[in-house]
Amino acid sequence: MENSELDGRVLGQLMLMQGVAASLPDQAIRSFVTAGLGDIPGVGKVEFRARVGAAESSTRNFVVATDSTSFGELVFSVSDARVFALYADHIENFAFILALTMDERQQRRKIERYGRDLEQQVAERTRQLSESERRFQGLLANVRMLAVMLDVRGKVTFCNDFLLELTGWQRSEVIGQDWFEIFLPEPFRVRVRAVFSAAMASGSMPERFENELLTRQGERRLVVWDNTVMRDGQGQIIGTASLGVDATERIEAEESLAVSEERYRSIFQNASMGIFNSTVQGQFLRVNPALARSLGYASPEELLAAVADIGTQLYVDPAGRRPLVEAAIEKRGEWAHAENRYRRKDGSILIGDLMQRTVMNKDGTLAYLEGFVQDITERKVAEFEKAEQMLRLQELNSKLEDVQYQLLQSEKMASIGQLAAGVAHEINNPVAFVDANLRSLEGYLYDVFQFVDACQAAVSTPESRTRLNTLKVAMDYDYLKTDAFLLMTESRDGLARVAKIVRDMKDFARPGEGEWQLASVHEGLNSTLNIIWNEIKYHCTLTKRYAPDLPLIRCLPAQLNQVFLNLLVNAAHAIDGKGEITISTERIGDDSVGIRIHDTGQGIKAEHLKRIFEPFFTTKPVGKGTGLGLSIVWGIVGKHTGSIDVISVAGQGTTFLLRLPIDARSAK
Amino acid sequence: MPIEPTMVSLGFTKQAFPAGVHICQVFNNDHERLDSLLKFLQSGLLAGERTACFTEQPYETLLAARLAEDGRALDAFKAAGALISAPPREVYFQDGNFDPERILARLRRYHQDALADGFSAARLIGEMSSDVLAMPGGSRLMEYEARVSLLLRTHPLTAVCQYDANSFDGATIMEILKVHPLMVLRGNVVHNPFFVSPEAYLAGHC
Repeated sequence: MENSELDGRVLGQLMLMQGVAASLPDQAIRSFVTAGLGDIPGVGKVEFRARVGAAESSTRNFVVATDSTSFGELVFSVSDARVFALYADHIENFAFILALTMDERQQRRKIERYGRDLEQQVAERTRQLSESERRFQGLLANVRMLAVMLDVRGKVTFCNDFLLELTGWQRSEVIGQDWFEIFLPEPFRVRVRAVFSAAMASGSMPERFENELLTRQGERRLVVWDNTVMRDGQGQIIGTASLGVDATERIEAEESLAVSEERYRSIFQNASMGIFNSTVQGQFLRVNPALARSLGYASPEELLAAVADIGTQLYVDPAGRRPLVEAAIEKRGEWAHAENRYRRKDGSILIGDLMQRTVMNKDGTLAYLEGFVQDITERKVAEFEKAEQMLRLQELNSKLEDVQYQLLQSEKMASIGQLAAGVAHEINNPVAFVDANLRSLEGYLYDVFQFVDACQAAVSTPESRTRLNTLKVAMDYDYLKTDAFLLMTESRDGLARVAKIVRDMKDFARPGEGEWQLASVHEGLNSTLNIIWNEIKYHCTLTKRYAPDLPLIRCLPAQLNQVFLNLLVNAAHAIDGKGEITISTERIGDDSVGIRIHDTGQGIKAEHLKRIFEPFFTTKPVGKGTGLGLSIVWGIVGKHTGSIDVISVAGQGTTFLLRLPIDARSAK
Repeated sequence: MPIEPTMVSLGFTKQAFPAGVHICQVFNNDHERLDSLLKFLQSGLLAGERTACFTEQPYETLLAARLAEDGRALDAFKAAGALISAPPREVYFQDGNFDPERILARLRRYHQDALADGFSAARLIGEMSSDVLAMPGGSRLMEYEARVSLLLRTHPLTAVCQYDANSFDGATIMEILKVHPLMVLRGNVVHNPFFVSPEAYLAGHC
């Protein structure tokens, strides 16, 4: 074929390329056509440029574009312009067809993308709708609300299970039936149907409607409805959809609650006992008038305004509230009870019987504290006074017992004194003549023995002397002579002791008369110590604490010395081994002096303390004491209108406390 | 007296072609590929030809269904040796390289065996993977295709070569067109104006 003639095969290639290019992916089209176009006679090389540029002298450019979209240009490097010119128009057509193909693909991809997006949107909306419908159906099926749909004539098109459960009807019995005829009681039927008809005509309906609903058994339930007018896609009214709540129990409960709250409010307001609600931290939430009054405030409002912190402002012990609150929390809703002291507005003290407990929220957290405060101030004061009276009575009783004891002791002492005086008197006379007789008898014995000795000397014969000596030996004459005088001496000593006992008894019963005179207690103590010093100096340390201003007292000095003597001797005897005796004096008030004699001896047993002043009571070994020493002391002190007390702890020592009036006569 | 060539149906077109045509199909999606494959195999089996299929993709279930519509059982064809399946990598990339001589010898033997086994003719359809371009010997792909055209003159094996348009660049696709005298375009088999005779192609490129 001459190069000057058009090659039909080339035209076929162009056509085929158009067909193949349409089925190739985008990325393959450009390289496919440039490779194919390169085989066209007169062409050296072909490029597909994305941007349209100016043609060069050796190139021919063919725009690949539609009216609306440019895809670039085909740039042919022409090796033979004359031959190429034969195909130029076909190439131009090819370029346009290629542009149409690419544009069509682009548009198709857009449409496909739009389609996919639309499908996805539709799928998503469908899914959402299905999900919403599923949830709605599930909700309607399970919710404890009544759901019903009516068409424009008031026929039931839908109702949920709960409505059927509540009314006792079967679904098949109500679907398609007149709602108002079945479910509305007579008095309401006409009125509600009128509302419904108006809604169907106007397209608006009361959003909230309340009416009684008739059950199959004739029971009436009060239902609160939320209503919606339903329309179709063209906006035409197709009926109503209503959701209802069975409010029968709720309204009954609300009425009951209202009554209950009114009762509580009345109790709260009128109770004589203080009632409060507070936070754990200590702020009042509510208080009743009684609490305000108890605390001295004019009104609950004033108390609420004045008290920002219960613990620090009302509690006498500010730290005392915390443990009470903790106790209430610990009891978890049970009442915690405590007595507490509160400070009233005027600063006075209110004693309150507090009962409080925690009130919890539904989620188990602590909501607040509620409590009662009973004013028990008067009762507690009365109890306190009663206790004080009781204490005073006990003290008086104790004193009475002491007085009674002392009186008894005095009477006993007096009786014993009388007895002792009588006994002493009776014994004293025989003792006196026995003593006198013993003295005479002793003289007689002396004379007899003088005479016997003279007779023995006068015997001259040996025989007689021998017989006399034998007799003396047999009789143990020399011992007899010696022992007779010893017996006499012992008898007289014994008699002297009897005489002393009798004298002591007389002194106890009727201490010696003596003369009342002003005398120094200190001198009396010192002179007594001089007498008994040999008795105590080896095992006792003596400490004297004499008051420098101790006045002279009017007394019977010899008898007081007897008192000091007895007490000091007892003190010395109470000390086993080494010990200490302390004598101290003091002035007591304006009219008395006190003498205190303390030893560190073995002490007196508690069971002996009440008996130590009884005559003849002694804890000393037989022969060591007569048991009259302290009874004599008792008598002498009594004569001086003084008193004597003893404090003794077994094992730790004893202290005698003497109290003597400065002027015993005035004391009398 | 010249022997009239046996005319065969390719299945995916109503046209009839003499046995031994060499066709390429540049497919853009799997539906296009599988539709041609099934129709080609179905028509060959029903025509009593030995058919071979070199593809990695499953197809037997679908083929069995199509054959069943004609009252035929795939298993019977397989038992009779009428259907031979092999993955392309075994046929084309044996031992890890692309060896046109080996493949051509195998095609030759395949055709010979088919006739020897009593089949009226033989056909094959195979998908050439783009892996071939990276394979040792892969640069001889166009040479191979040109030599197939030569082979089919003596061994009239009806062959359809499937190429995925999404795996090859445009220039390679153009080269593929040049070594196939026929091509499938939108379900029709058309003569390829880009085809270059194998002698000329081999002379110009090898």
